Amino acid sequence: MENLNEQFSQIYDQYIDKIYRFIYLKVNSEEIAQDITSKVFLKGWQAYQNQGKDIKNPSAFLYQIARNAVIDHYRDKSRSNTVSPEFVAEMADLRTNQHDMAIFNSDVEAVKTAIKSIKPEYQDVVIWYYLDDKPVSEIAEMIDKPAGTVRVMLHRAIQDLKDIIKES
Amino acid sequence: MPKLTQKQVISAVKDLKSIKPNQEWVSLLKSQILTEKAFVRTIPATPVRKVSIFDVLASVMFQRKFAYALAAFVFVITGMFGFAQYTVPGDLLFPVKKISEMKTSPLAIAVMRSDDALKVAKSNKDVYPAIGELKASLADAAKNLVATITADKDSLKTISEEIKKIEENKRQLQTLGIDIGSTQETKELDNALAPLVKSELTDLGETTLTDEQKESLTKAQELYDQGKYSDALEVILTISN
Repeated sequence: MENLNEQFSQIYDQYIDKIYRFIYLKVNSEEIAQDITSKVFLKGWQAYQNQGKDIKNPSAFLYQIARNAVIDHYRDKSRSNTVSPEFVAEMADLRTNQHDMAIFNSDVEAVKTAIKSIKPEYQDVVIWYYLDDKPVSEIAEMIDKPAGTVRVMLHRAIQDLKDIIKES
Repeated sequence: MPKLTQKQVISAVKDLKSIKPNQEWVSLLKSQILTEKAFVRTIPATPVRKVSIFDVLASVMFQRKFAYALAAFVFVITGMFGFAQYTVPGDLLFPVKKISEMKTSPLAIAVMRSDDALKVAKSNKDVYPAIGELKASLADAAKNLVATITADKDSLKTISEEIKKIEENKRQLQTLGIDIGSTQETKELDNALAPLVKSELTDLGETTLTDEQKESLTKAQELYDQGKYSDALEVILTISN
């Protein structure tokens, strides 16, 4: 049991930020993201205790739970486009001057909002490729699609984001 | 909103990496989750019996013993059937010989029994069992004669030859002092032949024959009238060939 604890603890540390971000970008609320993330890791821990040796890819396993949890969330609640004020406080300050900060926040905000508007499968590939730095091959395996299809999806996702930002 | 290039969009997307959860919440969640104990399904372990080298040897040996036993059994059975072919009524393995004759025609079996009777008579063995078997086989042949001919019209020649053989063996037995003569069983066989011979005589009477064939037909008719059905049948066969 101690061994399982230790192993899942490492998995938790490795993926908590990524899973949270993944969920947050889809639900656009810290509270809801925390709630769903909690459920994801709780479910993951329970599964790991029962069939730990069968989980060969913890990343894919946790992301699958997360995707399903978000779908369940949208089944129960309506989508919200409001921006959580806490979001601004959590962002790391990567810009040095006010002007750059304003532009940075504006662009990021626009993209963050736009991401919620594109197809869920496009959201997934954008997050995994650009934010989690997963290779196309790994993404292809996770969604059971050819690598070429994933590249096309990424291209179309960026195009859609561009169009949405342009219209907004 | 100013128009963004693709590069700018991608750059903006990558900036979203900075989105991180509250670290206090992360620590709290971790401690909460890892204290949760899931319902772990346990499958009762079946006691595993350790297999030793002796178990392996025993199973191999058992299989070998069985194989040897089976081979020995097959050998014995084969030998038994082989030896049984040389037996005569009254011998221990004679019943085994009868088993191997199951698919043989009753008349052919009667021929074999007449051969056996002759063989026994020529030896110093008790002839009574052989005579008994011969009589039984003749009765059986008489019962099945009509069915045999109905099933196979071409068997007439074979039937004639077999009956001739039986008659020959009877004559030889007579010379050895064993007179089967007109027993119930031999009469039955003759009586079974009678309608067959009559039927053949009728068919031939309606057929266009040569002078020579007509003479043979007349001779066959005479033999039939004398009750010598097997002889009549033999003559009939010379006409038909």
